[in-house]
Amino acid sequence: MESLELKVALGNDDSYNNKERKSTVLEDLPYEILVEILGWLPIKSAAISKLTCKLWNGFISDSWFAQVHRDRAIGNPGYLYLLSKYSTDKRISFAQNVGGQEIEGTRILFEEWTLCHETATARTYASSGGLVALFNRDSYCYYVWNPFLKEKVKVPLNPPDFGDHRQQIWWGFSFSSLNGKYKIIHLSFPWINVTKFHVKIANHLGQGAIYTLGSKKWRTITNNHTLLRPRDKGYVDCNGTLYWMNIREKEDQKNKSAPIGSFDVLSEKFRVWRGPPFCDHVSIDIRDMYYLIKMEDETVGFVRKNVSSFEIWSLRDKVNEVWIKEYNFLQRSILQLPFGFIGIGIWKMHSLFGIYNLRREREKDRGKGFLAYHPSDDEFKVVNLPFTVTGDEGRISNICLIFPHVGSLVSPKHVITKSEL
Amino acid sequence: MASKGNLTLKSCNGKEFIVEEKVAVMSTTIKNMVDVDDSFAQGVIPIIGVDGKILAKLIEYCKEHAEADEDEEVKSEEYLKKFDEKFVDELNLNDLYDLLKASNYLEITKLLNLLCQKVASMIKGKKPEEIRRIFNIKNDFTPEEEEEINRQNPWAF
Repeated sequence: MESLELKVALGNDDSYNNKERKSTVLEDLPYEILVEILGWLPIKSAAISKLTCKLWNGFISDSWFAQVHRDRAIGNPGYLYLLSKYSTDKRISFAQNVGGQEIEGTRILFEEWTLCHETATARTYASSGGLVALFNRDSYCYYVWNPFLKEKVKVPLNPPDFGDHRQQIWWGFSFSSLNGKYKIIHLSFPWINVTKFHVKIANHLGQGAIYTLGSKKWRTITNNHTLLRPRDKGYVDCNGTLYWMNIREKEDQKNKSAPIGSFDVLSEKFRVWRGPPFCDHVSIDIRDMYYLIKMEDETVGFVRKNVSSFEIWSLRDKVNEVWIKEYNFLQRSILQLPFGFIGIGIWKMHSLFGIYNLRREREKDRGKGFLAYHPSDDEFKVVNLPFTVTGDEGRISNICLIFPHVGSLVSPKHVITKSEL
Repeated sequence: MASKGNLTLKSCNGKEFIVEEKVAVMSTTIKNMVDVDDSFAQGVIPIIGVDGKILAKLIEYCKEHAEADEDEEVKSEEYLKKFDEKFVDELNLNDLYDLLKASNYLEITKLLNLLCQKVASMIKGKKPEEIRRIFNIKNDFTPEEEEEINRQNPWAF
């Protein structure tokens, strides 16, 4: 209703009605078309366009526009990245492919940058639907943040007994375009005593809680699957379903499978998957590297890499669990592939975007680089991210964190304070 | 009267176009009219507020896309992409506006999205003064108001 009132108010604006008209001007278009047009703008252009005139400023500043824009922008995410942790420059960078080879970059002041760092044991950040969630282990609370609006809202973990510091924590944050809701999911795994001197983390879920942004409280969730423990803190978010690699138990190793766990944010159901079939010549073993990525069409991709192959499988049929081999890197490509290349997501036009470590004999040549692999022409292309110190082969010496993010104008305050329908 | 499977569309300046039904129903508005009332399928469908030139353009677009939906072999995704690019590149600003309004009214979603993205690409990366010049928009801000907006989004400038 808020946006409707805005439209009426703007339509009756005197300066607008009295203005001299040429044959057709952009403002003559029905407002819903104008919003459709502005909704396709990359984040930086959308913000600049506010200065065009009062009418545009009114549209772009409205919460209804923020939703329209986010739903368009989800199809073309960019990346948020932090340069050196020890730098005095407290800014976070954002880069987005805005068409062709053009990359648009911007830097945002981020005073709380220490909240957003990687630790060995816990994930501290997650991005979904244009918002970032941050987990602060010290004060045991979450923050929901939009870097572009400089808005941050605290979400205390409640009831307090979920905050048992002795437990292993796994958490995720996800937006579902099906119902337009954001949820934080918080799981804990208790330590169990094996012997007097030996403890291990239990395979079963200790406690699980879920919080829908905009609702009053956390709710408990239960899990009927026993073997669900994530291998590490990582997961991928495919339009409201979180997928992670499970710890491989003895029988999985025997069956040559790499099980995957998932949580569907909409239905709040867990599921365990067998993973792609590896019954061919090589089975998964310790020398294989395997991880999950999100494919461009929001399906989950399983990457399997070893010295002789690099494959990406995707889950095409969820009901019958059918995996299809989508990419199969040619031998030539594998030879070109730098050591330690890890796909972190999809860049423009189906290309696999990844980071690698560059090792050189001279100290100053060490660093990290970014490559995008284009399956259509079987070629790797160097991606130079704005504001990074680059040299040969896209070498970057000063990057410490990077994750996909949809540049949006969605206000966390608005999402959290609007009452649940 | 159009033969079976064809519809007659009439522009606001009286031009009549006989098109195949599968082409005409790319428009959700026309589809709803035909579905609800059979007499539309027999007679002439007036397209209010759309002149002959714009209606011809709309039909050109719908024809290509309806044929592609039917036979992917002949008109591949790549062919359509090229067609779409050429289609929007050849339009002047006035035609763009008229087509936007017409495709919105007739609910040709695919075309509306294409046109909106075209206009967005004309705005993208431009300074406010350039945008105003291209689209013939008057700056109605005071310098203080401009300053305030600049202050809200320092990262954009």
